Amino acid sequence: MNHFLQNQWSASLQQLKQDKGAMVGLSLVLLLLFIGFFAPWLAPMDPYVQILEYQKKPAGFKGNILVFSGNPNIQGDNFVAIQSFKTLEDSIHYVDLLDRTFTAHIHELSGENETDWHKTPRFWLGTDNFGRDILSRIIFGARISLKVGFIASTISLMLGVLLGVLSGYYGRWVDTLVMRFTDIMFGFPALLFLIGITAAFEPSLTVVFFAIGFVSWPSMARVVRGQVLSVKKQEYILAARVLGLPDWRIIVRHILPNCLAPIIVAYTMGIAGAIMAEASLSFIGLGAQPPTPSWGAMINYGKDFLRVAPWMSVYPGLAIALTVLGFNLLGDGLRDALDPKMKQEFR
Amino acid sequence: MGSYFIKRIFQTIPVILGVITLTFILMYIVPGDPVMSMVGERYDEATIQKLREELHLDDPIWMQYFRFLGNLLHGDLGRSFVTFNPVLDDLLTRFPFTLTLALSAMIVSILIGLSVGILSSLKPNSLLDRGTMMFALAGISAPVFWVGLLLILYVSVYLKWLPPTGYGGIEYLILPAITLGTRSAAFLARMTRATMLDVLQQDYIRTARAKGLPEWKVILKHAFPNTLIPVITIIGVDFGSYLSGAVLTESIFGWPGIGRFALDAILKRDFPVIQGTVLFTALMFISANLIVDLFYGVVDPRIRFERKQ
Repeated sequence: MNHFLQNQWSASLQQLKQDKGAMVGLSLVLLLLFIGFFAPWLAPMDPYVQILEYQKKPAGFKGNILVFSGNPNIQGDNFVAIQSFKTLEDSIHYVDLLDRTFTAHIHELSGENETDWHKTPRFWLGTDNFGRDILSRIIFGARISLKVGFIASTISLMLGVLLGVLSGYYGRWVDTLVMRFTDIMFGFPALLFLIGITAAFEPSLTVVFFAIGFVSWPSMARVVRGQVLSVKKQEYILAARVLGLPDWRIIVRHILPNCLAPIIVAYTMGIAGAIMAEASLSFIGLGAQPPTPSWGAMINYGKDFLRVAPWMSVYPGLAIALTVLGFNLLGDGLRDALDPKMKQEFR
Repeated sequence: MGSYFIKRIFQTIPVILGVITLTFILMYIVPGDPVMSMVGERYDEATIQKLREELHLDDPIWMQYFRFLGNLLHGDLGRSFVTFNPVLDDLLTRFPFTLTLALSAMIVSILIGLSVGILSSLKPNSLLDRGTMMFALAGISAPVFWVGLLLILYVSVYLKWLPPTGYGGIEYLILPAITLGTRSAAFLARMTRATMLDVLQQDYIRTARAKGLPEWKVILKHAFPNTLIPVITIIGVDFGSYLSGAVLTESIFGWPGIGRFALDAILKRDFPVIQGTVLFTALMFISANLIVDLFYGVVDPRIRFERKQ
């Protein structure tokens, strides 16, 4: 990359730093990355653990549970909700939520000390219909959204850049073929197309990654093609051709670096779109399958309990909205900083 | 002018053919035998063979394709595996519902989007501007199904003002229309504001003010009409996608339109209905986009000229 390009990038970076919206967006994205990365340490509970006595408890509910060690080959620890307990030498007497008194041997409990087997967790965002901690599920759900966002957008990036470059650089029939194909892809209403594709296969997150990537590459291809067309006319490309450089080298070394700005913007916006698409698919039941803590799927389970446990759908939705907002704000800021001319082209 | 229109209309023909072909191919490569989803749990070999012959499923793919094209030309989209109704009839029964919802959502979007956009462009960076634009960005970022559920929760469950789901009088239409229109309104507000800010810098606005026109006249008669191109784009494209069935909104509110019809068919693996709906909606979508494009040609001669080149 030459000095001129480097100077442009640092000028853009300066502008981005002064853009408050973009910085809010960046903070949200970084926060999400942090939460996703450190989910096992941040989540107060295991996102899959069901405490059936604590179904649909509201936000802020404080539990009182004993942890019994289950058979490690079959399942993990058992969680039993109690009202109170007493320890007598090597046995424990406890009263469950139905006022029944039980006795158990201390060795049946998990861990060594009372802090290991007696817990009073606070369910900050309430519990769902299986008595699972919603906050922990949202924290782990960040991983799914991030995965979908990055993997699906990367698939779309690779397809879009490849086809966009071929189309813009070689022109003629290659261009006609690729562009007519993007026209056809744009002819389908996006969500219905996506639903159709995912429904054709067994629902799973892998299908969702590829379906979103496959449906969303045409807009990336158009962006890249447009940029390649304008870069191609520059004199330094002509010079490279005169020098007899092979096409791939001209593309990789000279054309692509000059197309990076719109690609970065489209990629960032694409992540927001992919996260939203996964949430929509999982909401319909065609994406992540139970018990995976996907935000869209959580809203789906929650919608049947809207009257009695609205928190089941409200908080995961808030998580989606904040995440998408973060990527959108960042994308907006990047667009303004990298290329003010692009303002009109994106929506 | 005429040639631009004709050219643009002809350009959509290969796209429509492509959409038809791609739909056919997708349905062909779908894993799972369509006959099995027709006969269900109880079946015998003879029935299956008979059905395969009736549906010409053993013919070579190109013969199936041309038969499919021929049927399409006769307006035949096949019959549902579940109800055995002609798919086109079912689509046409549901279309008025989708159209009603799409029009209502557009009204919501235009009323809110334009007024918010214009208002916030008048005092850029004021508290009102920042507040409304933040709100617009939130509207774009919030998932439409979540907005729908929140509206049901507050308006129907807590306030008991409107029925949560179903269809009938206008009271059933309000919540779905707001749900569907919110996102579009948010886009529209942002686009209107940005374009208005651009237009308000122009010389002819200064001239209009200098000659002593009242400010409302400057805004509504001189500035606003010049924002129409991007505004129409958004309205047109969104309207096209609403016409093709708002899957999520319709399924949340139990609205019996094309989107919910499609979703039901997908969940039941009713292949002829899926195929028919995807085609029908794609045609709706392409037509809406075509009309928007033709409309550009009418309102802005520069576009006609540029496209000709």
